[in-house]
Amino acid sequence: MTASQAPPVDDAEVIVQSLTQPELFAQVYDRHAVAVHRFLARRVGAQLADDLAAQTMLTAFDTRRRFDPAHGSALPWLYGIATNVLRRHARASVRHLRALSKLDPYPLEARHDEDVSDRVSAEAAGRELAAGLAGLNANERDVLLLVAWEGLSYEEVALALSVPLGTVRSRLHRARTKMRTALMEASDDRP
Amino acid sequence: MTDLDQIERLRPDVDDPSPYWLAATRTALLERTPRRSWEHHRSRRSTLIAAAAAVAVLATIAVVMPGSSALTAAAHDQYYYVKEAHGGGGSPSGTLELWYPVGSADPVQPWHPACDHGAVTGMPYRCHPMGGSGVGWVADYTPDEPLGNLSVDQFRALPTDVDQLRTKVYEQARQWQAIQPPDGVRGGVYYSPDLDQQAFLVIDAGLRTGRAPQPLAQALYRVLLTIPGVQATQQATDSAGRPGVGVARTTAGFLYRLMLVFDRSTHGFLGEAGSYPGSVSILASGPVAKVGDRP
Repeated sequence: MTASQAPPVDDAEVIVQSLTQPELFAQVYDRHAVAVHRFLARRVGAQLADDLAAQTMLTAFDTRRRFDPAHGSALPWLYGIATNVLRRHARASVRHLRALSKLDPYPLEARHDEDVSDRVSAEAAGRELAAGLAGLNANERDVLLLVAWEGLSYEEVALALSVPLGTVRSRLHRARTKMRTALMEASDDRP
Repeated sequence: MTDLDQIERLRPDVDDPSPYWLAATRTALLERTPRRSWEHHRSRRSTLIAAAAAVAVLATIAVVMPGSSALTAAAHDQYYYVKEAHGGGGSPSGTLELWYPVGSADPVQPWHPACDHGAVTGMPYRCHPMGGSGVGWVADYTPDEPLGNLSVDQFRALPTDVDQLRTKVYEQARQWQAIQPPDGVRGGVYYSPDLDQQAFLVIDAGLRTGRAPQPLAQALYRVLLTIPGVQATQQATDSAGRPGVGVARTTAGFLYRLMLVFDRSTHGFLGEAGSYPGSVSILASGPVAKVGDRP
């Protein structure tokens, strides 16, 4: 039996085939497990991300019939599942963001040509941004971070969160407004 | 700089998940697949318990059998008996009984009339350890003792910790890739330009000897499941016709889709799937006191 390399297939095709050949879902795992884990690690830290990412991938396997094959990549769908998993650990997520707000947010970006006062200002702004993120409601924070941290388009965020595109836009608008306000207030408070 | 840019810069720099996590979760996923017919009636709780159990099993192996641990040989075990069957691909089928001194990869009492002549289609390289000039066997240079050449004692010395064993397998896979022989076969290990496929082939080379003790074979099964691109099926049959869990991987440039079949409950190695010319199944194996004994 000769075996030529099967042509690469998109996630949708693999998931459809996995309905009758479940083991094929491992291909989806191989493609996206790292990205899902990194997404969750950014939100709750690496330790809890181990548990949540495993839950996400197993939930994806269980619910793969619900995946719409019209969408080629499974990644937005997986982000959506991960976000739902994350909601059950919302307090952990906020706690993680608050912890971030206490850290130097730009540890690797202390450029030599950067004025010290600018850098201090940027670091302070970073801490305030993290605190501002922790202050958003979950819906706004999810949209904002899927766009800003994961680089998803508005359409992909809508797909991930199963909400209309208009809802994505309005949540993002509210989130950005709140963040700008928080930054300005913090700036006003700084000596 | 916009507010979105600022938030993007705040993105925490996180590490990739550990290979251990990737392996454990992938194993949990693959081990759930056979239960699909009734699985959707299971609760999420039982799903997570299953995943946690898979992780726990790996963790237990890691704790109980650290990398340096060896599988202890009983003092009276002087030989290791292997009964193997050859079949598949239209090649002549037959069984072979071998008694290996535990410190040697060369059997004491091989028997097969065609071995010294390399005349049995599909199995010539199996004959070489018996002293023949098997086609495809290149013994002039080995960067490391390949799994297919290890004695029982050497197999027993390998780690059964999945992470450490995986590291060993991939080290060897890289070494084999570095010395690609012109005929595509060296030391019983086929060459593949794909590192993951090469790792798959290295494991096959070890398991098909029949000399890997059960705990090591079980650990190699778990390592196999961590290799990207492997596919598992519950509906596999080895070359001797025994059903089991099949683990396969296909890549460009390799002639056959090689599938390794394991016992469904113990995950001990049964054999290669029957579609592979010269495929080998291990019908029986175990330590014995002397040549002629059977476990």
